[in-house]
Amino acid sequence: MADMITLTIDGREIVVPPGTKIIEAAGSVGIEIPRFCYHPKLTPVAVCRCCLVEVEKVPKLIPACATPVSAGMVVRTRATSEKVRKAQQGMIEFLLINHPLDCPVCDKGGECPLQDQTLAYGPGGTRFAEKKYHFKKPVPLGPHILIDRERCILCLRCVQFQREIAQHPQISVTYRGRDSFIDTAPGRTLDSNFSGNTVEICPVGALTGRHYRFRARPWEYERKPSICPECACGCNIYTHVRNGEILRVASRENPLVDDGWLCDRGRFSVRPDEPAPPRLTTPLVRINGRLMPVSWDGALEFATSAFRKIAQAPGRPEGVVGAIAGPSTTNEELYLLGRILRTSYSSNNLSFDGGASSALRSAGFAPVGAPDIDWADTILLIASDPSRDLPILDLRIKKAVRKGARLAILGNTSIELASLAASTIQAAGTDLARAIEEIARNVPAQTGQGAFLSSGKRIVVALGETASRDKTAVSEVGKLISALSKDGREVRAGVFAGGTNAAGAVEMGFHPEYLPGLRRIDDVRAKAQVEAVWSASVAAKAGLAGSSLLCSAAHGEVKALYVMGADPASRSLTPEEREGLKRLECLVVTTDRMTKTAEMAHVVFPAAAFWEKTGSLTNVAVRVQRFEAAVPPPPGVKSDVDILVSLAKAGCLPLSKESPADLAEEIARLSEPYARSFSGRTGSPAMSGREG
Amino acid sequence: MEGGVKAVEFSETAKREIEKILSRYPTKGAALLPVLHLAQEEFGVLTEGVRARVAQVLDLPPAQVEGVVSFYTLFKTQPTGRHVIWLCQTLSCDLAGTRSLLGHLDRRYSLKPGGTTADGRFTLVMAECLGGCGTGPAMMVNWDYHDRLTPERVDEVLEKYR
Amino acid sequence: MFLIELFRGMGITLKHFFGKTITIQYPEQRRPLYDRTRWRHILRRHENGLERCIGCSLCAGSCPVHCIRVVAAENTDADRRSPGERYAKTYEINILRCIFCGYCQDACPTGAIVLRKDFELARDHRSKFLYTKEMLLEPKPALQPVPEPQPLEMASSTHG
Repeated sequence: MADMITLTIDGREIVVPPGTKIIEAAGSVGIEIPRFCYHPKLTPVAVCRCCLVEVEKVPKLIPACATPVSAGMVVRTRATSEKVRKAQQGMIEFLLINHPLDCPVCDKGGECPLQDQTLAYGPGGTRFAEKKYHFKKPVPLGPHILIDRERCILCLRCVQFQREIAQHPQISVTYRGRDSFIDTAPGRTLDSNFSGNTVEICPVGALTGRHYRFRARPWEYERKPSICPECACGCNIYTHVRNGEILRVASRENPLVDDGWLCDRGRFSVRPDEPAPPRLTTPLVRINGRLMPVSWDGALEFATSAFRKIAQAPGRPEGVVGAIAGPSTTNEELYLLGRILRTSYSSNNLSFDGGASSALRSAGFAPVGAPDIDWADTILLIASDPSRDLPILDLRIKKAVRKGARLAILGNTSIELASLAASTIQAAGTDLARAIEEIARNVPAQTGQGAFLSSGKRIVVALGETASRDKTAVSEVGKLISALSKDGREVRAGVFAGGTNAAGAVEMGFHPEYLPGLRRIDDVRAKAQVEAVWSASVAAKAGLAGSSLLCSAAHGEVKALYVMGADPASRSLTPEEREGLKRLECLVVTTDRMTKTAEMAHVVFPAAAFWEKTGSLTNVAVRVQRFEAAVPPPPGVKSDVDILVSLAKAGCLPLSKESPADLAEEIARLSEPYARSFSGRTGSPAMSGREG
Repeated sequence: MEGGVKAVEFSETAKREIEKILSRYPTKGAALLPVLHLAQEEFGVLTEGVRARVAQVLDLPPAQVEGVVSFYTLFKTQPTGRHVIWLCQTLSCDLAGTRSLLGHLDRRYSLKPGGTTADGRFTLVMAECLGGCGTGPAMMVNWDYHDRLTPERVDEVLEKYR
Repeated sequence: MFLIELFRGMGITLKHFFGKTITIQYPEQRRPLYDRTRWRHILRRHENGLERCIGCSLCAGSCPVHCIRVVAAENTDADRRSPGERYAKTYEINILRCIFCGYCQDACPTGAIVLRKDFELARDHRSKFLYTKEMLLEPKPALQPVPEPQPLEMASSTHG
């Protein structure tokens, strides 16, 4: 640790590391200094002039947000300096001169730093009696963001965020003086994938989100911690609920996951301004070729007897039943469905419909996530495009590069991050494995990208979706890792791939080849461990998944299919796969809304949508994060776990554990990351936002 | 990339000049002002297309170029008349009677701030302090400075610019 | 002895029997209401017919018994209900729960919600006590040309 600096603020002696800004030093001991443009994650621009403080021997007041501390500094804030107090009052009065004070109709009213700080530090009134500026409003800046020029105080947080954090500098201050306003270049829009964050950091109501404008006042929201289900990043969020309806999503900072930012895909997945397709609220059963609404008991009875008939056919063939689960199904649902299929129907045909898995972990790969990117000094992306697939990791990589990490890209060199890369190699398809092999060879030879990588000390290698399915490429990466892990270099390799909870699906054993806890099905000892917990035997033959599952249905080998939260029929299927879906003797679908697959089904159960579920999701770094339901399901709708438990009961499955707590405890016995999510320091770790 | 803007190309001489300018600065962003001046000389007006081209040449975000061009009043984004009148609107001149001159220009020449006369003779631009605070109201026509203006004197001065 | 007490009591009764009547024959007879009587709410309009209510929910926020529910929506030029950008799509008062404290009127920045003198609120079914926006809103004044929407100015604020 470098030498600490001692300074005095308001007569209190404070010791902080060098480089700390006065505003942060004061904050560390609870001395509050008003601020608008200052944001802890942005470079200070010192334009709002509200954090002015008096420093001894400095003739003028100086901005606390942009001034680093120095030894022996004597700082006086508004608490002890009349000069500072007057200056701050004056600044706030100036800010309000052209501010419309339309707080009653402003989306920010109630959670507005300008409102709060005017109350706390501002003058009680104004001396400005003239007419205020009026502008046309609101003006759209981009597909999601509208600007209200009257409310804007030109703090530049949005400009700074887009420039520094998102690195999409699409907005800027135009004109000058009293005519200044925030705008895009003509003919262009603020279509950055992170534009929603500007609304959140805007200290006034100038930037508003198109989808929740005027939906509710901030004090009416019930804020519930949750997890974003849009991709495998697993960003921590708050859902803002009013009258049982989610109106918006806000960030819940977790440095280990999201750093407090959200991408627009996640943030604007909730759109109260768009009509939602109607919900399914009664079970449907196919009677005489048509889907008819029936009671829950009737539908459960129908489904279990159909499944039992198929599974208990003469000879009790293995693998006649299959299951497909979609993304954003929870760990608990995946585990339970896998367990039921394996123990009651002797089938390992478990297909997760949400992208590649992190099954590579057994091949020397470890989960890699945000903390590893922070740790690395060299990052190699192999055929991966985080900007598209895992946007929050894209921000992390940008942050790492800003802090001096070097980025190398192998694969498609036209991706957005390639512009930040110090070394790029274009390779695709079969060339990819060859290119990896060449780099591995170049490491000891100290040439090309090999030399580039080997000059790092802490190296992160991340494989994209397609690369992680290419067996040759994976084995070449294994060689590359071992070549790099020499001479004091440390390597962390993992996959940047898969949809929401893809990692959870493998971890929960929802995989044709893996049992819970990443136990290979052909590993006799591992299988025995699972069988002991389940008190049931598991078929030894690996199951089918994806395309081969549907194709084997076309050949009549798989006769019944349980589809949980997935919609395989809406994808572009080969004729054979489509034939497979049609030939099924029993297709059970659980879904929140009518889908193409549901239309082909024999039984459809109305299931809870994501926000109505309680459970856990596992992110790309195999971090298990629990969440609770934000809103209750509509009447008549059950969660997938409840449906599975009812089915298991109706099917006389010896399911001793059926309460959520028992289920969670059983999963924890089989999966180490899942168990870890329980051992929080204070209550449930995922809910506490921060974890040490 | 062009966003529907017609492609604008610098002449070979200008390109060489840009290279020379760039060699003087540590970053491309620092060369923005001289390059904009060059572009204005080259094309007369910094149209949307010219601004986009400058952003491209200097590898800068178009929004940043936009911000700089709109900040400086000496950069023209609209075609102007043959002569540009810069009328000072800062406090001293305003108190000394800028507004009466504005009214006069509007009545006599139908000239409003930012506008151009129908015959393309004059464009009126409001300027901040021209340094004539003691002798206001002041204006510049092109680069010539005139002060102690009255409506009559304005007519007299403008007579010289055909 | 107690007879004396009885006659004394009856005496008081008799005195009032022939004295001045203080009851009135409601509903035929009505007492004038005080100027500041606070009973049933109405939602007022501007002179040009636009609704004063801007859907800000401050009334709901200040309501001590939570009997007001407001859901706001955005004005469009085609369908303009109030000046400015925002109007109340839903405005409901559960009049059974209301204690007529008048906080909503105090909180209202545009003087839209006011408590007036209509106190005869008895109805024959619970459901009829949920006052909707249509029931609360003042009738539109005689048709006038609708003027240009003006920028919103708050009725009362310390900052000019």
